[in-house]
Amino acid sequence: MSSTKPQEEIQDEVNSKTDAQTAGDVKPTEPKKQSITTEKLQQSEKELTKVEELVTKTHDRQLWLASKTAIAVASAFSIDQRANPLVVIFEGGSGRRKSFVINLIEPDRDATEERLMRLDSFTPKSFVSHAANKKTKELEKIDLLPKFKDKTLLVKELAPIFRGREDALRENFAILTAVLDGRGLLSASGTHGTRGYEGRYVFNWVGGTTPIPPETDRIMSQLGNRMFRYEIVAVDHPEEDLMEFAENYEAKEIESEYRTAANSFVEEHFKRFPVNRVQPSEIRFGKPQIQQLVRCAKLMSIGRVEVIRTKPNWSSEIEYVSGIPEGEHRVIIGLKLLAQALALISGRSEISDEDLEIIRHIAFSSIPQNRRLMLRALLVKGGVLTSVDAEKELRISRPTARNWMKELGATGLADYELGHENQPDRLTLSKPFSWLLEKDADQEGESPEDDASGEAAPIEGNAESH
Amino acid sequence: MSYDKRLNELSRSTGFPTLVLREFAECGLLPQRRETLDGMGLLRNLLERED
Repeated sequence: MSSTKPQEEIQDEVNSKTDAQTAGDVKPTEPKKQSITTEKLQQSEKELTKVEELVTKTHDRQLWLASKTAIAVASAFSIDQRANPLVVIFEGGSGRRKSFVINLIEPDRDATEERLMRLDSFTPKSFVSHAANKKTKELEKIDLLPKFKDKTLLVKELAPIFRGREDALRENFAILTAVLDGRGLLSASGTHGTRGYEGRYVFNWVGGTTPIPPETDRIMSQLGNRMFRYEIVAVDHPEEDLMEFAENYEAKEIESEYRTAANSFVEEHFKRFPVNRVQPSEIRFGKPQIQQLVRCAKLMSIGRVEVIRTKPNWSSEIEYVSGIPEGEHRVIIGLKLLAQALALISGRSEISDEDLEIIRHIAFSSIPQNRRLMLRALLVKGGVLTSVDAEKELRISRPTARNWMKELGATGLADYELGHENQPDRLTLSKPFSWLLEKDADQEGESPEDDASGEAAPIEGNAESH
Repeated sequence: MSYDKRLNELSRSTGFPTLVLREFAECGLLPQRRETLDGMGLLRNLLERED
């Protein structure tokens, strides 16, 4: 079952930041004042645009939005009252340039090393070590947790953490769940007794992985999911673009140029907005935007709930039963922080639809793969999908279609209806999520004739791609 | 409905940002069947790539 935390407990975590100041490493801060100025925002926008122009010269917009998200995660330390680590894992098949996103913000100077830390591999046990061949005093030098504090951890390949034997996965995610609460980690062993760190230990994390297997999804949802995912899909580029890329791309120089630009942005960002100096209230949400954010949080928490597959003795049908979804509060806090960081680096003190499109993509991406695909199919079909449609349109077998439909139905995102006689099974978008199909106010009341006007409209804003 | 509005609608039902969908359309990942954006075609393409 998913672990949930009541709102009061999450508020305690926010407040524990103050307690942590007595724990040693947070210096007393000056009285909080307005830190955002128009000049600083303009500077931010200008510098981020520079990085964007550079990246989109040779890479697609999809990769730029992913890169911008990674920069936002790294820059989020400027925002005060962060309760939990912000973790975004870029997920996609091999060769999707996930590592480009992470390489982009790899530190290349002392100033950014203060906020970014590259690790190519690690095991969750190394957060607080209990190595038997080391003295307790030496372990303090090995422990990773204190080294990460107020830094963004960059790990290009997390597949070893997301794959493996079930007992190893459980052990890893039990540690990760505790650490990603942001309140330190205490663990015990026969050799070293109880040791670890108490207080506020908040770090952020950007990682990459190949698609996460359903088994790992299940374990993560049982132990408490603390990670946001960001799906990157493969794009086929036109031959002429690839030829131009082949002729002009000089990996070493270009990637190092990008990295320098991204590092300069991060360095200047923390000069403009030092750690914890921006008050959350300085980056505003409008009512419709906060509603969208809350809806995305609900979509994510319900969409990634644990679903147990059982085959009861009394039935030949496989049944899918939902666990208890995680509380939305933690998800809201994380998504809100990320949206604010996206706005801040873009040079805005207000959340825009552009930020929310990324938040929405993360909400969809964080739903396990098969459910995500079935949900998209259901929405594309206007909220009603039959097993015949799913089989035909998605070119999957009827049993697979039915199983995926049942699984999505078990989450509560949709209502599943078993077919009878010649009727196919049917999936209908559930009422609490009907907003997923709501049209913008300006689209409502459009007549069918409007359709004709936009057909075959040229694609504007031609994005450069390699 | 205009192309941009269809794109917005598809963004809501797939979760992909409009900028990304525009790019998918440019490279054929998002098919334009009968002058419309074929969301199901996009999903089929995505599924084939995962296989």
